[in-house]
Amino acid sequence: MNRKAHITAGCMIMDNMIIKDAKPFMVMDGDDTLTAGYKALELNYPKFYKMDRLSKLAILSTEVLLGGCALKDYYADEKIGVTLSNANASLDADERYWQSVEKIASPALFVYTLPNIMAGEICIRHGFKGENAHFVFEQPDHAFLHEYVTLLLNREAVDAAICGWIDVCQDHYEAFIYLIETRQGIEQYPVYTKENIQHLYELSYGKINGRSEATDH
Amino acid sequence: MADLKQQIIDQLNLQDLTPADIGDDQPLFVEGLGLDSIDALELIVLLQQHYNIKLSSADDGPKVFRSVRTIAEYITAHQQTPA
Repeated sequence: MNRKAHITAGCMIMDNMIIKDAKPFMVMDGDDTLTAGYKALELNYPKFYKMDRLSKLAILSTEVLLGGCALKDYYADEKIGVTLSNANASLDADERYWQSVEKIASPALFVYTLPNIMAGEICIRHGFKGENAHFVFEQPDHAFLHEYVTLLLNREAVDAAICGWIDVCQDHYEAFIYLIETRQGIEQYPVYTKENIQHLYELSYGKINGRSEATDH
Repeated sequence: MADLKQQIIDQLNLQDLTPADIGDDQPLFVEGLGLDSIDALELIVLLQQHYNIKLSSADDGPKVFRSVRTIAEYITAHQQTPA
């Protein structure tokens, strides 16, 4: 069974900028840019402060991606999946945890020493209970994720999925995620193909490099 | 007690709160500040780091960490006095 799915939203965050649906959405000002983004979006989710930077980036990008859209209104909790990837796994949290071990190991840091924790944080925040996966690649591999998520869709393991790339390494952070849906009434959105994902990525990346300061938010 | 509240805020990354927001007898877990099991472990680390106190029994946890006042009382009772 080949199910038709559509890309209904996209979000990229890097270099202090948030791009939504390939358009500039917000510039995050401040030394701690992710926290600045959290405050600007008025998320009111105090657990955010306890997270490592990878999960903060995951929460922030998912909030922008969904933009108040209640996926649970359209899909069963068990049918909303999260498939993510990155290059540095949880190295950022690993290093911080290792530093804490010199004194007394921090339990709060330890819990973030796996990259798939960020998918868990997204699911806790939004109540998703579908299939989760995390892959590690040297660079974004849209074709692999497309093949994997298409398999999940065709086997009816998921009806909607948040997919993409969320990576943190030292001062560098980069998120590019997109929402894949199968419900009726979204035929106007681009069909879910690896070419369309690559196109969305390039459009979003172009907006970051163009440093357009005009934002919708 | 205000110092202890600030230490709790710092240790648990409760950046939305100030010491004045935490009542002396306010429950810290579930219906109070909403702390979780990882926070409980961080409170144990706090006692060890700042006061050199090790919780003698895990069973004491719920009683000791019920509120800021109960933590303060535990610290007072267990802090080592100079010989």
